[in-house]
Amino acid sequence: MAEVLERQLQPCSSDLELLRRFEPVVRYTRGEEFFPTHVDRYVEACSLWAHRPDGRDEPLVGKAGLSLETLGQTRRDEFGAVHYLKLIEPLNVAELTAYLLEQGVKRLRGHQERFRAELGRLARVGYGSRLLAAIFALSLLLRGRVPGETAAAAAITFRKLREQDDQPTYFGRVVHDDGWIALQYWFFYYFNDWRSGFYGVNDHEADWEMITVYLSHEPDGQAVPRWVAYASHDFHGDDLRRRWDDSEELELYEGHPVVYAGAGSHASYFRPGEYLTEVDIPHLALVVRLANAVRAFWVRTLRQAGADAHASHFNTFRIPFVDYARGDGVRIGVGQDRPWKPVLLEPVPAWVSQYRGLWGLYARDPLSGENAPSGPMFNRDGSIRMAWYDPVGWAGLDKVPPPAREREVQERRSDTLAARQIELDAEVAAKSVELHQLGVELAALRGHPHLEARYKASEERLRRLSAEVGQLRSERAHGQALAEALGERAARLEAGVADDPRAHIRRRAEPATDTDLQSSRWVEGWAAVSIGLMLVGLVCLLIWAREYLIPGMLAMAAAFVCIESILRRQVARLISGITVALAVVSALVLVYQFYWQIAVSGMMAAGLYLTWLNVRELRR
Amino acid sequence: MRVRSEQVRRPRAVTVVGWLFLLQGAVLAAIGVAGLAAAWLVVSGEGLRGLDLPATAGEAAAQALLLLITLGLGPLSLIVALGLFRIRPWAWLMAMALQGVSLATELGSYLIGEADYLAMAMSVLIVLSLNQQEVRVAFAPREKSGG
Repeated sequence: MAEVLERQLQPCSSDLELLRRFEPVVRYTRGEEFFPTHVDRYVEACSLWAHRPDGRDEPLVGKAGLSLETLGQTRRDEFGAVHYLKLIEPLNVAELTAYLLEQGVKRLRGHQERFRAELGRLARVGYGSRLLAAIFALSLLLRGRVPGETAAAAAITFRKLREQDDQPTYFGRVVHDDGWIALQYWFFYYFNDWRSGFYGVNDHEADWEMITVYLSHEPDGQAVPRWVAYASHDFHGDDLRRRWDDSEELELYEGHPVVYAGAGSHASYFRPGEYLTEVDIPHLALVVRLANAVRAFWVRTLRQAGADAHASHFNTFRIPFVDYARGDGVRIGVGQDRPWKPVLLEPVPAWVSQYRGLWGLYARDPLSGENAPSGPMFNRDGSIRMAWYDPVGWAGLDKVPPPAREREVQERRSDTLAARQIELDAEVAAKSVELHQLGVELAALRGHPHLEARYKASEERLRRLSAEVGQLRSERAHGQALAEALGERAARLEAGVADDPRAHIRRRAEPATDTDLQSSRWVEGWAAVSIGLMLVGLVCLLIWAREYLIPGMLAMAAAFVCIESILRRQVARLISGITVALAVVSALVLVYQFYWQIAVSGMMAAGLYLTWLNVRELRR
Repeated sequence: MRVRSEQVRRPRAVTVVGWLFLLQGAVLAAIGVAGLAAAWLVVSGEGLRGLDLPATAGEAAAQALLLLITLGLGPLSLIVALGLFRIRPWAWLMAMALQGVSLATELGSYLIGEADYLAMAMSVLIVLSLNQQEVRVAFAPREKSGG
């Protein structure tokens, strides 16, 4: 390990060499179809389109005319226009049938590269989330989405490309900023088939992913790896980054950070596993707030055990999806199945800096999940990505001095603090003298009615001065505490004890544990069919027993919940849940029947309590 | 293995609920015994005067079933009370189940216009007491310590 680090610390002659030295190892899940590739052939196979605000789609450059050079040409357009690339042409019946047959044969033969979901996402969550997931799936019929056969077409196109050039590619960028060297590795994929391939949230043409390795400039000219940050769903700032020496969180392979890529989504994870991710539904914000208020009243005010005391931390009002980052498939990087081909983005090519459009189909999805992403430099709205213009701040590293500067920064902070403490001492001393003088003056003025105006003015000055001195003393006390904390940390660092490598992380992606995944096939089967069965049952009730609709629905819901509890071996939880629900209903009945008596009794009790408090005070 | 009650402090709400169950058990047992005595009088034909006899066989069967339930619930409540005093997780679950049955019956009675609000209020208070965070923590299953 020390040898590897020593080798990595040798002086570098170029940015490309530096990128190669720390390039990641990416491990994919078995069944992954798409791998990082160069953009040139992709762009050459695309046409460029503009979506107009009036809904029209207009071709700007046809397939034959598009290249990285032409893509990088500046194009002016009206407000609201969206430029996008279009790779996939619909498959004809023969092509689609051939593809599906091939997949079917693979499945029948138990092909090694085939993906198996094991425990499905629906078996991992409750009814509420499952119902929302069903609605979300149905909403795809109304929302804009990438057509069903597109993933198949992309897979076919990508396979043809691999026949010509099979070497995985990353686009590297080296940014020197504030004592840090940020090595950015951008990965381009033809397609994100998370939804169609791995039961995920979305599909979209083109996918850009990125990781950054942070090195620190050392006084002897060395560049030492300190941190690494992986772009991942819904994580921002500090939560993206792990310390290079945190071996529990960050896996290194011969000095190269190991990335576990989500199947289809290509999101990057530090550890292998299956990650349950949540997707917010914007229109449910009001319901979520209301439910949170009720839950807070129940838990905090009534001090009752939470409704989900034994449930997972999963939010009922979000849709569950699993990102499979198992790392049991293709491996790319140093010493792996396939090596990288690096491409340096220096100088920044025009296709990066000038093309602000989408890199694939604009599906008109208002939730944006099915729309293709923009390039490495831009967000979907054409604004510049933070990861591009501020790679250090993107991972929350802007507040962390590089280790070589740590001591200097710490000393400077201590010096500033010490200077301020001296200032404060002097100020407090001077103002205390003034305060004493005012106190003496006020004592002298008392009993002289003709000096009342002066007395009042002095009293006001004294009040203000006293508050001021109080504030200064408080600042001095806090400064003292801060100085002690800084001193302690300096001593710790001097002794070679580093800070907690995970102190900066507020939220991190946790893979499912073995216990989470221990669920029977019965549970999984039930989870898969229950919502559909419930809908069928509802339709049957509407057709054949409409007069018993409400009791029928209640009985059906009760039966479903009982079956689920038995399958999950959560009968005790079911019993307590039902009892608590009955108690809540009964309490509401009592409030409805006796609201006046309850109000009077409450006021009476409050009155008696106050009287008791006051009488008790009298007796002391 | 150490005794559980030595490890966990009993919340005050549990003591109150335990006493309520004890009282309930005693009352149910008394009612059951009285019912048994009345049934014996009916069966033996002694002292029939002053007793309301069931008009039909169905009514008699229903009364017998009610008597059996009451006879069963009395000792059950006493056992639950003892379990609650000794902080046994099974007692908490049984107490909740009994209150669930009781609340369901009371809500049913309310819907047909024969509500017993006092019993309903008592059950609500017992359930809310048993569901308090510190009570749930006290009754949560724990690892057995060796030694």
